[in-house]
Amino acid sequence: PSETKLNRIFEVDKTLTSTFNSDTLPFRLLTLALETSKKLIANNEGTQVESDYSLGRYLSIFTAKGDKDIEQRAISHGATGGWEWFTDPLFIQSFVDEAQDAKIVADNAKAMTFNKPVDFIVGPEVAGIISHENCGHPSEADRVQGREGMNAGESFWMDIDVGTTRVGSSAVTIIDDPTIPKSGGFYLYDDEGVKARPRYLIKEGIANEMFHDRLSAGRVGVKSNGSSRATNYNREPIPRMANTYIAPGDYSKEELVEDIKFGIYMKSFTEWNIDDRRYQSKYVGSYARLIRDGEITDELVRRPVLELTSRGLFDAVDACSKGFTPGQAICGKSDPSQGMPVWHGGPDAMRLRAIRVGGVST
Amino acid sequence: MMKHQEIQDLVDYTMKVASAKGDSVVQARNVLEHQIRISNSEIDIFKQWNYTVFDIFVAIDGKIGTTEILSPTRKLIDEEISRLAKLVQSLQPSPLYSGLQEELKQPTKVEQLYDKRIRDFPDQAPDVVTAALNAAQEAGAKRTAGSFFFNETYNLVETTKGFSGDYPESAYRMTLRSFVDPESSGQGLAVGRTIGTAEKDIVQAGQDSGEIALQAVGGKQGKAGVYDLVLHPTVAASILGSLAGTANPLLLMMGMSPLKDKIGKKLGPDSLSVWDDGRKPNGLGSAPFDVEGTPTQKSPIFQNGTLQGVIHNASTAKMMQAKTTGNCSIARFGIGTKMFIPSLSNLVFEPGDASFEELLEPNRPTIYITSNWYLRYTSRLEGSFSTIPRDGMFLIENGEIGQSIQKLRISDNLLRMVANIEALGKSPRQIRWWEVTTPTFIPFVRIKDATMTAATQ
Repeated sequence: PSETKLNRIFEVDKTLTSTFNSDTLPFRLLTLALETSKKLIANNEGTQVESDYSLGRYLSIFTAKGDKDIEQRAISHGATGGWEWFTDPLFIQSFVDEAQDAKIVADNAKAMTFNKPVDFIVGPEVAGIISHENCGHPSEADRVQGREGMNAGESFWMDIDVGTTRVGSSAVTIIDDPTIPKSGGFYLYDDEGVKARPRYLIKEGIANEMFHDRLSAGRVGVKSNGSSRATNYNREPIPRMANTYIAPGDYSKEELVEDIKFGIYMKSFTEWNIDDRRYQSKYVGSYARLIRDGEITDELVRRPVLELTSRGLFDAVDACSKGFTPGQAICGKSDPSQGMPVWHGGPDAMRLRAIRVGGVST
Repeated sequence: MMKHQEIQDLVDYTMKVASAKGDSVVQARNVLEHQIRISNSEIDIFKQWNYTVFDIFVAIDGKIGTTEILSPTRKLIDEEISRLAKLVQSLQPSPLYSGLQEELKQPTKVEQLYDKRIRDFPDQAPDVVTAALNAAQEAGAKRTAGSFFFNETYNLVETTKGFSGDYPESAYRMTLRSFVDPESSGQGLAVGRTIGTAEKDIVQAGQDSGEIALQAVGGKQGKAGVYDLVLHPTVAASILGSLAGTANPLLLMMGMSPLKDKIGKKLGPDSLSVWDDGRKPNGLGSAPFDVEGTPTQKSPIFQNGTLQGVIHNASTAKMMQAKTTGNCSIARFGIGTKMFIPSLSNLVFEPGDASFEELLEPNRPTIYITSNWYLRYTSRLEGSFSTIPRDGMFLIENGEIGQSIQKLRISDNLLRMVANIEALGKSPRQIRWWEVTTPTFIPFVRIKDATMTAATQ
């Protein structure tokens, strides 16, 4: 019943307001959206696929005020097949932890200048957005074929040979898998009735596969890999991401940190963007701590910037840890715009070597 | 399309059902929309949507909610309003609502809102688009991509306070992008409601995009640093419009506007005056009245650089001891169902007196930016952001457009950029496209000392 869901939202808010006061967390927005739909796909080849679908999404935007600064964060969660995740006590705790992180950043983070390249460890939230923006979008075949040229743009993958061109180090494997149960981008058959399967977009640094629908696949003489999605019955199905992630490696997070003399651990991000060829990207760190002599210290760095080309970024990755954490997002594309639910994620830690820290303090 | 009388009858029925629950608003839209998409210099699809949608707002004891019904029938209306009322009763009273607008006034007369020639336009549109593609190619494009929408909409609003009003509207918007090679591109826009001038606008957009793309050939990696910027209206609408667009009580309350606590403060030069103008002729956001039935008006946001006020509906106006500005809407906000909130109509920037050539004159390191996308914030409260120029971007050399440059990012702060406005051009254009969703009338703008960054590796 709706009362249960409303009560749960108020419970989350009560936990927040009992942990913080109006001075330390002056603004907060909490939104829960629960949708259900029935879908029937039929075509003149005899395809008939029926599905019942439910998606729960939670979005919160809050502002933490500290001794030195303010820090704003947008947190998104979501899954298909029920909203049990929202009632899990761990969910509330993780949300309070995020707010606590923002408060600590607002209290303590210091702007720093880095005159030499430094190593980075990024957490799954940052690795996830990188997998989506620097790999997922450029590997959409309709972009590569010029179909999205007017608004969403084209792709630097227009200039490479899929199957042979190296687009990153051998530590980088990026997969999109719509079939992960209860995932935010879940489906078993795409919106053209093609059976879904995992797509290996980058395999050990080599561009391996693009997202295809029947139209884009037919144009280059291959078969659709089940990437066709539409937000509604009256929108075109086009190549889209589902659940994109950087594949975990064999190391522990501690092992990756251990090997860094001086660097930055970037757990979360705020601002991000990328050009319409999906090559020039920027990620501004939120919760970021210095690494010294193989240990993550308590020293917080104010808004470190990764401003890198897609190739520069993936070339710098030398290792990924175990673990996998996804994040919920709505992916924007096409005209009229089709906001598509997706997950993107990554391992507990991804290490980038010798990064020149970018940006300027604003 | 559904006949107007059928819609009127269904709206009357909806109002009867909804008003039995509490204060209500019904907004009906009957839309016939077409889109022509272009890729690789060809029309690749011609689409048509014909639909009727009702947005319904209900308030019960200060608790509020909305629902949207596509293809309404009496059965659907009964079911949805019953469901909505049950949900609303389970809520707490909303701080965003203190009653509907009581006072009824005559709707505003809006010029150039509807052009009946829109009815014949589906037959003409492919030829008009083809003419635009030809103009782009004649100007230098090797390849084009675009999206052209045009629609006719019949609108009807009723409230439980006795307001009832209707109006038809027509609109078109074209985004056309030309490429000479994958990294040398230009964009042209055509936006308006008057079909009589649409062809000229659309062909001009084609020519503009082709010319910029040709100029962009041979672009070199730009150098990060501090520059003066000359912003094409497309870019000025995105950046400066992003600041003016947060003059909304909801965004102020949620800490999502750098304008918080700044009403009455001087934030820009004397040359900066901006209005929300719901009656702007030919404006895609214009309408005779809002969803409370309040006549639309021209409301100051900035006057001579000073932040004057924010837009309102009746409830937010009462909350801030102000008067409604006729901006009430049932609109999307974040995720989930629509909200009953103030929304912008058209943003209108007062033009200056500088010609484009005069904007290029100052002898300081200057970059001319023709288009941008992907504006994102580090902090909405501070206004710190970055956005990425795309299509033609040029160094200004000796007062003229010089070397084409690429791969830079504007990484700055909205408040600082508004404070650093140096001059506004004298010829405003209406901007509305994928990146700029509020119709914005704005000229070329020169801004000093903006920070440009680039990828470090």
